[in-house]
Amino acid sequence: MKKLFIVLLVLVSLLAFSAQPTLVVSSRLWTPPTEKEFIINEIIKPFEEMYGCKVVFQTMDDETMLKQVKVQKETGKITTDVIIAYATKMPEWVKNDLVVDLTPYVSKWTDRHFSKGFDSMTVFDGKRYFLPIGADVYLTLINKKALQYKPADVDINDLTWEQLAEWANLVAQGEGEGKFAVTGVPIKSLIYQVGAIALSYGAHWPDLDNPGAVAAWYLVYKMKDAFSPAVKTYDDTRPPMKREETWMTVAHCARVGEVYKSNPTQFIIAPAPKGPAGRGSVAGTSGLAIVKGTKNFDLALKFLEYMTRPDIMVKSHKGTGGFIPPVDEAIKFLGNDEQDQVIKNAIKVMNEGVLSYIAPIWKDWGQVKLVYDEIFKKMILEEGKLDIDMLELYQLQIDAQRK
Amino acid sequence: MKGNKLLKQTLFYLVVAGIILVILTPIYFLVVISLMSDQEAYDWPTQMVPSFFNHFKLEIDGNKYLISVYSPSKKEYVSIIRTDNFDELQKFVRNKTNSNIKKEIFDIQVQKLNELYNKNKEEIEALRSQVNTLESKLNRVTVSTVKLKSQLEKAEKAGMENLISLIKDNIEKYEKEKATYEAQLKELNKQLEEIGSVKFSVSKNIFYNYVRFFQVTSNAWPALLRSIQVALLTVLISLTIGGMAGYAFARYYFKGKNLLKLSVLFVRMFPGISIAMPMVIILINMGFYDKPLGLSLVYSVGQIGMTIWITASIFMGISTELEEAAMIFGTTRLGAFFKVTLPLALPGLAASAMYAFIGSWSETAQAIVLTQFNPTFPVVVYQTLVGAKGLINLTAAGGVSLALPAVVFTLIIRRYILQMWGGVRV
Repeated sequence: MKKLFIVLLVLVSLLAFSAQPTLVVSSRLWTPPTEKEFIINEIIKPFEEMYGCKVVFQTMDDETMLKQVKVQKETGKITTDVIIAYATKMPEWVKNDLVVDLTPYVSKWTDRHFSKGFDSMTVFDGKRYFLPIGADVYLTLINKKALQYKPADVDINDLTWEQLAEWANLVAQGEGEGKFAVTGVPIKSLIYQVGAIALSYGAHWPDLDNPGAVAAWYLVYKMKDAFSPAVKTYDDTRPPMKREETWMTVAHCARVGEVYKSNPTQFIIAPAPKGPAGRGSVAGTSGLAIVKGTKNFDLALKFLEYMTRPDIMVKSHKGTGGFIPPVDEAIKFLGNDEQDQVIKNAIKVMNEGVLSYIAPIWKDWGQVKLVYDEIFKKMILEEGKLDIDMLELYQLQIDAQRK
Repeated sequence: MKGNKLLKQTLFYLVVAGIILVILTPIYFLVVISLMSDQEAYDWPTQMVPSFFNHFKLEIDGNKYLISVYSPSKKEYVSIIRTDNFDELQKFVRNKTNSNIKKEIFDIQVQKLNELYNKNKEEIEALRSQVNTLESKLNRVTVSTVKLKSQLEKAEKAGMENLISLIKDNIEKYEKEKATYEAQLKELNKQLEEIGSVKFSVSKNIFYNYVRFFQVTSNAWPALLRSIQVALLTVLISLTIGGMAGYAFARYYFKGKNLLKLSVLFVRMFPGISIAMPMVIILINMGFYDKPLGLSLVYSVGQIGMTIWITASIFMGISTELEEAAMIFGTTRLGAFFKVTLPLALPGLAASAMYAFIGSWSETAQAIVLTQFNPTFPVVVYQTLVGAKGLINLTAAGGVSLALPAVVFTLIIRRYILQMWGGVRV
């Protein structure tokens, strides 16, 4: 009996000591199941083999992730090691003291340079808490069916908003109904889609009381017949584009990339159109961070180092949506296949574009989004009349949301 | 009188048919979509039944293979991928159409295509060149026609009669031209299809979405087992506590009985999600966070109230004289309960079990907050749904997989529930 007890004790001890360290990664990026599968099998597995560890990779929305880690901090039981959060949520992570300052560690990595454009979101008071990993901009997606209406002088890769509007109106006139998709369901991405136009016209986005914003809304007004009749029901441009209910859209690069890759023979992908001020786009990024109080800090740091290697970044973004690898060195790992086209177009917008970000100055960003949704619904879809005085009134609603 | 009866009957059947339609249509839609490939699910208008075969067309385009699949909605072949890499083509076609093109089949078709292409190479190239020319002509004419139509609208609004007839003439001229080009293009494409492509059919794996759902959601199987565990535990806890309490409410009289009976339902009136966050802290401190038992404890809180009400009404319907008679014949109080009352109360207990099972089975909001590494199946399906906006068929497969165990459980206990509806029989 005594011998059996000793053998059991040895076995238990051996198991305890031989157990692989486990790293828990919670991510708001790569939520589509096919993308998650790719990241787990093609990106994380090699890391596990390299460092003899296990990585539990789970996807969830930003809010749930933040809530979970807050509770972990409150109860003193930190079980999440690494998080991938979106730029708009980063200030909250830092403010609640939930993530580690990575500046001393990252400064030693000389083989990569994070795109400077994202420092304003990922660096707080000179300290880098987040490493940008999946940046996003807006891209144009055209179904080839729309080509029959394309005016002869239009170059899709150098499209202007005026040309796109004219083209979309021709499609609507020819087909008897609009074929341009935006998200008409409130609090989705209309603000970014109109934002891309506004920035192209030199607007101070998301404000409405400036000439650029007025010009942008005037363009949207001119396109009033070009929007699909079911536009109010779209909470995402992917389904109508995939079922060919709509033929044209300017949308988030990952969504555009997903539709494009679902049938590359049927779609054309191009950078967002340009305007007098340049190629406007709202941009953002997700960022990797280490949760404060993690017991696996060294492994978490190794994971961050691995995930931000330029070649790994390109591989992960090529295998998933059309996000941009925000590391300057990544571009030399791009080829010429379909996945590369999505990323190259997005990089073009990022490098040449007039970009703007969601500044952390809003009490409730959803309310700002609602202002855009209301203008679109009332002035464009219902009344078909652009009232500039009303835009000034709506600006007051936006101002009310400033912190 | 007869007409009135006929009207009532018609209305009755219309209502019945309406109810069936309202219930069955979404279920039918969900099941059909779950059996469709990505290509079919987004082929508009969507077909009423899923296909069992895919018909492919293979062409040589440049130095690459262009593969198209037949669309029953559009009544034509729709191109899906252009590549020279068989592995890439096979993987893409499998994910897009749920058909696996085997290498041998592909090689045979490629051989046929090469023979055809080499034989008609010059003609094919000439036809393609003509198609390109015609397409650009058609583009020019289409754009001009549409622009003129737009001008016509403006002219009509402005009442410019002299312009209206001129524009109309031009539109007519362009439309004739367009019709000619379209006919020519159709004919050229038909010729091109005949001399430059091969067609073949491959069976479709009708359950591919289900396989893929469990493949891409690596934690789906453990989550499914965990959900069964949680649901059974919830049934056990709520039946044990709720059943006993129900019996007490039915058989005993005490002060504040009615108030207490009413108050057990209050728990159900609070939205579960509102207490989810405090529950996380309580469960972490109890050591039950992210464990099936913890989740079933939380679910049981709401289910116990419902079980008390169902079982109390059932026990009240069973006469105490029966228990007394059993005791006269020599059994104990406990024996009378187990041998007489409990068998008669089975339908009520079965109904309570069903409510508890379904309630815990499909609950998602609290499970998202109360689990981290060990999610239940609805959480996995929810996560797939959130991420898979452009993969409706995969989401539908997850949805049907989620509903299936609850349907099976309900079918198993349906006999008892039907008894309950028929009342307690002695």
